[in-house]
Amino acid sequence: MREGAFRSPLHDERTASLIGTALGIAFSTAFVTGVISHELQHPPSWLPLPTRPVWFYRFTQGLHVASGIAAIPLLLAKLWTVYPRLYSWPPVKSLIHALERLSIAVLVAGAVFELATGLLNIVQWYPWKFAFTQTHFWVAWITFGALVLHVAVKAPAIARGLRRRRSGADGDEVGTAASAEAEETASASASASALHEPLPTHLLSAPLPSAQPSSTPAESAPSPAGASRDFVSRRALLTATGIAVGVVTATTIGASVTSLRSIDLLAPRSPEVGPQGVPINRTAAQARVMKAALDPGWRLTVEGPDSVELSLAQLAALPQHSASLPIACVEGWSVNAQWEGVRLADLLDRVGASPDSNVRISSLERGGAYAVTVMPHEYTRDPLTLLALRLNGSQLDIDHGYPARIIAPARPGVLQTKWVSRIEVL
Amino acid sequence: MRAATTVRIGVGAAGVAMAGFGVWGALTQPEVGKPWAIGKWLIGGVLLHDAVLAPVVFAACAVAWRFTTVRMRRALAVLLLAGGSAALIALPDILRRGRNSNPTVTALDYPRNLTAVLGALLLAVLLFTVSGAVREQRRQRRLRIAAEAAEAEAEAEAEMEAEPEPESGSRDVDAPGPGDLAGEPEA
Repeated sequence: MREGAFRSPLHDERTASLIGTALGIAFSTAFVTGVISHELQHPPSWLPLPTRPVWFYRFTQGLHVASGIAAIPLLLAKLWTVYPRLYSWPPVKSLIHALERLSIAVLVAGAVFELATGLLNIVQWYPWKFAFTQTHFWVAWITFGALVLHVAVKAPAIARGLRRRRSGADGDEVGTAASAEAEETASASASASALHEPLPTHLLSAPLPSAQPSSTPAESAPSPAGASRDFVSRRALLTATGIAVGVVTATTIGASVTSLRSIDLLAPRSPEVGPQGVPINRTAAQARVMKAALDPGWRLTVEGPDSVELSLAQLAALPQHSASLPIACVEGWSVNAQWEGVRLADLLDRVGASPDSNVRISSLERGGAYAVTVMPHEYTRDPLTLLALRLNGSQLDIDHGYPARIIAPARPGVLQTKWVSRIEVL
Repeated sequence: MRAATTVRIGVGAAGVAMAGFGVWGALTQPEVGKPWAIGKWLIGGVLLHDAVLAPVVFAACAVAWRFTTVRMRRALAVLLLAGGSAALIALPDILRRGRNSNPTVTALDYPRNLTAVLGALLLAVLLFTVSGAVREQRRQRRLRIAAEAAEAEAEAEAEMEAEPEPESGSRDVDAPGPGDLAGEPEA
């Protein structure tokens, strides 16, 4: 490596620890909310599913996408900080060192992969030959596992980085408040070499710091006191990173936090753009249900001990209920809406279904991953779960699932089956 | 210390187990797709960052270093990181705009919106940088006047008492001198 190629004192432990902690929080949030989304979409039979608060999925999935977007500038800043380590020399010192570097490669690859595929998924862009949902899920386990390993390996360095309050690069006078940490610093540099940390290149060329009082922190040693003012301070870098997180969050969060929709400038969705003021994930034309959905001969089949077939007029003649429920998409957008229709519980009572039975709901859609869904009994008996016929005061738009669609509390949007043709008691 | 090491090993093992679970799932679960299709994107992402984006950024910074003061560098860091991130997240919106038959996807005018975001950012950074520079200049002038006054006072005292003991009040030595803004890198 050319001497002095990475001169900034910010390629150091403290900067890496601070940005890394923020990035770790963002990735942990995305991982946990991602697993929640996965479990809601593929519920294991032993897991009780939450139906309250009704905005549960709206919140977790909005947070999932927001934390992923916030992680983009954090990852860029973190990789900038540690980039010189890519060129640490010798590249491999021992088997342990090789394994550690391999785990870092896995972590970086997984992190970039997750953020890139997630970012493209929210615009429904799939320029690859793998299934997005499953791959995003399994690579998340690889990435988060590598992150947990990374934290364990780097725990002492992270602790040192977070503990040290002040140093030259913070923008304060070099050397202040460091004397109390002299001992700590000494042990820091000792264990730093033990952990195979690459020595900063300038340390090799700079005059030995032994002439100076030992109060100079190890990380500011590479740059003599005067020169460190030429560099952007750590505070400035952290501020820049914070501003970047703020900008990407503020300009996209309005797609789920609808009170902020006026500054929703860069999100793929606007919570207002769509028929009846509600966005859609899949249009009737895309699902190829136009003809079948508009057919006046449409009937809803409810299969149970006493099966029944109902026309749209018959459904509309049944007791109607209204519910204010969010439609929350896996792609992160969500919007609250007023739904009206028949309670699913009423329909199930009518065919004599037992209270704890699950149901299978089929759409007119042929094929497609969500043409047929199973609804667990937690939702089927919920008084807010409707077979909706109306949305925001008017008949369902064809793109919202005319003649009838499912809307249930706290459920992922892809499971709120549109163009329903059949409900089977299981 | 021993307990901490045990915890670290435990946490590390948990990480390896989670990653192993992910590898198992990616390789065995149906509907995931061909491993090589995923591998290409995993490796491609690293290469795109480590071999393209990072070298370009570091090279650009090295060039910018020659022509900037530390104040300008701070401004550029904000513009690069915040503006770059905004542009990055807007890129898929821009590239895919109008390509989806569902008009509620990429629903907004992204070129216009990105221009507005970058413009607002540029304006804010400019205002902040210029006002900071003006404040700094005023501070330095005050300091210089104070130093000159103290010097004059000291000289006067020396003349009167013929005993120079100027304990003047300019302890504010950590204020950057005029040379700091020039910001020449060390060779």
